[in-house]
Amino acid sequence: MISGLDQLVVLLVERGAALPSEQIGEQTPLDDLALDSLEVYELLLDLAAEGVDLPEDLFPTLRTVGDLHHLCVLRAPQAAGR
Amino acid sequence: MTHELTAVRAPALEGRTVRLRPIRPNDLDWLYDLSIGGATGWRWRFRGVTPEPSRFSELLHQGVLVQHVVERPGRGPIGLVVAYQADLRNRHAHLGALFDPELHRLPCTVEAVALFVDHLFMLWDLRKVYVEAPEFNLGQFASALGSYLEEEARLREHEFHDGQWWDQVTAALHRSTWDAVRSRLLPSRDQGDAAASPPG
Repeated sequence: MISGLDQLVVLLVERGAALPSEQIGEQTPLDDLALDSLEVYELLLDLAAEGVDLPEDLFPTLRTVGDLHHLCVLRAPQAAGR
Repeated sequence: MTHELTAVRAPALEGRTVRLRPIRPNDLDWLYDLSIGGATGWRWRFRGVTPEPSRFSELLHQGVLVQHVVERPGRGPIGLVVAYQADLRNRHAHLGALFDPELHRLPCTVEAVALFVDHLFMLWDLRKVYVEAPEFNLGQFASALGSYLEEEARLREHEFHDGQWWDQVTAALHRSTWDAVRSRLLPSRDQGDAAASPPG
């Protein structure tokens, strides 16, 4: 489950983010991570495996890592059960 | 003589976000635009040359083993995946993919290619699938190089574009690599397999 920003950052770095984890924060633009379509695809699979099913159409609408994290928290299974 | 029910996988041409289907006659106009158009035409097989529209259908199928239109359900076609220059004696083929430039960075394009690769390895006993591209196209699948794709050949300064000569790179996706990553890249496919298997 992706609850903390740190966990998301670890995933982003594992997927090939162009920045080291210490330079990635809520305000970091997703474009700065320079993930290609394969890396984004694998990231979405990782998130789905954590129970966060993120429609890929939403991804290009997100601007920052914080936006992505917010969406992950919103769409997490325990949020859906509330 | 009795025959036991054997669990075999059927080719799956539908994933979470895309499905692959045959080319229909009414696809030719948009495929022509996509193949020749400014945003994609210079990268694709015709490299800026404009074939006669009346010959386009014939050219589209020339040297092709199998190709499918990529469609997003409810949203229409977004691209084409193609296997060409198949050498079934030596068990390899080339893979190409062309997508609407507005969508080519979306992950659904990866799922389309993964479904198509799975289809190729399932229906033909290929050892490997080649991806051939001039260096200026490599950025489109940079992360696959060195992870899933292995560079096997490089023709130095093979192709001219925009004032400079570019290497032509041939990379291979080996069946063994695909077997190792398939269930990770197509998890919905494996769920489908489980559902399709006969009980017991």
